[in-house]
Amino acid sequence: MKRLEETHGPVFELTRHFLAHMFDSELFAGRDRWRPVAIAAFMLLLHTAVLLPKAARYQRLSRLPAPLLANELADEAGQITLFLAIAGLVAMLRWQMLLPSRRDYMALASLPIRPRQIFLARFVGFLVFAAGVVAALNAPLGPMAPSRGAASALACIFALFSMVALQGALTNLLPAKLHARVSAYAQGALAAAFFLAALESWHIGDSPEQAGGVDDLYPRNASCALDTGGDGRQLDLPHDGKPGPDAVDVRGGEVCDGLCHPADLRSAGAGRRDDAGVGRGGADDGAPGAGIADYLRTAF
Amino acid sequence: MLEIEGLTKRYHRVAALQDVSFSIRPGEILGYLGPNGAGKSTTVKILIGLLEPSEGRVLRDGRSVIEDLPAFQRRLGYVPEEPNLYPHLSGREYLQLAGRLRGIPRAALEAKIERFLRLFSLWSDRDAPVTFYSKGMRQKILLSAALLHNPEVLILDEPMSGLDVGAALVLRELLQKLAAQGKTILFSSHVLEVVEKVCSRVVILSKGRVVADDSIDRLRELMQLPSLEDIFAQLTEERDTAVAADQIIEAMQA
Repeated sequence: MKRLEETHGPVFELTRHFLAHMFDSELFAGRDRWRPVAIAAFMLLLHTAVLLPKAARYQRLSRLPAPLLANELADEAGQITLFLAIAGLVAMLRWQMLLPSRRDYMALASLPIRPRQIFLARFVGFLVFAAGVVAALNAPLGPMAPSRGAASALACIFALFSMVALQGALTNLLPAKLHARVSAYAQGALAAAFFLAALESWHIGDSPEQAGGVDDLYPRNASCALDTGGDGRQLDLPHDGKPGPDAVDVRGGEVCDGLCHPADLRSAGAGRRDDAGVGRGGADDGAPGAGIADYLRTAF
Repeated sequence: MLEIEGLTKRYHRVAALQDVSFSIRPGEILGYLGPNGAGKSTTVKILIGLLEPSEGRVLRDGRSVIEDLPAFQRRLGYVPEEPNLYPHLSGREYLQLAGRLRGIPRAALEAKIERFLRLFSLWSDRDAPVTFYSKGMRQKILLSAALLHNPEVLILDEPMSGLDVGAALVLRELLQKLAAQGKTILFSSHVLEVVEKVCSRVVILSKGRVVADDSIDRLRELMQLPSLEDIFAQLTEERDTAVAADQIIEAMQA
């Protein structure tokens, strides 16, 4: 720690400065500077409240056979959207701090630093900040569901870095007079979009059956190989979701080794003949339509 | 010696500076004068490396400062006209940042900062954000930051701005003592009385061009005018102040 307190090179010192004041803002400049930090910390911790009640569910889901993961995919899409939106909102909080500003260059004028060192220090500061945000958001998820954690970490990285790219494009493309105004509008619009995305993420997590959006969530072009159990035959379902002529006597315990439409799975899981076509899943499928999704909703 | 040779700066074909040349010897305080828009701040920004000249060069002991700007900036102390400070930093934090970026070791830096803050009567406000500082207090912080590393060259753009009488007198005395130690000082100001008392030589700028470069005594003698104010008014074609004041009152009351 003592070594850290010593004076180092300009890039290190600048990075230290930018990082230490990452959450400072002219709106909050004052003795109550804890406020923006508290807001950011609250946003980062918010997701833990969302995740913790689902911990047991994730662990059970991860042990399920592939067909039953269909509902999990919807849940995962919702969760990734939520995390992406939170990361985006955190980036919006630091919108002015993502790249060096005119104030940086003016405040550091005459000090023995090159402009590229200011840029480098600001960017390194942002990298550390982004790593912290991604880790804080996804660390609780990692042990529960590693692949899900990795997916949402990548989504967070995408949100954070696309904001830097946008800020860079605005800075380079717009004339100085227009930049401040357009940048403020962009910040407002993006903050609203991320907030709405966070709200929408709850609906994505709903049962695909209830949402009626199952066809949008699951690809219909994946072939689904069903193990018919008793005789060891493999049954390939065609891409349109309708079983072939020999789709009879499909019994329970089948395993789908591909990504299947829940309606396909429902037919297989119910162990019935379904000559009418397994096709378009939904509430109008009748008795077999009790379905995996509903089963999952009630079971978990 | 700091030499400025044929400095020209154009903004979209409009020349803010045209072929400006002068030099400052060690131990000299050069007054840099001119009406608003004459090009003083542009010159200062080029000197500190914030702007690149369209033409011309700046030499320090015969070597172009652009070639190794950070090396020149390490020997430079600069007080800007506008205090561009981070509002969320305290006075002490700003000095720490400036000192660390100048490579001053931590222990020496902390001791120096404490001395400067006490000498400029800022010790009790050392941890308050600069946004709560008065203009004079900010100016004292900028002066401290400019002097912290014992620079060889000082560029001061309106350094008296906001200072109370006591602090302004101390600064005047300080500049003369620093010049006596061999520092090279450029003093840009509108306050001609102070320039007259502090500077040994003046450069007067008008519409981006140098219109006078000599000692104040010699200018007085040459132009047969009693004060720097009169010399300045004549060289920069200032309007008749009484007529201008009358016109403003007329506009107010219309």
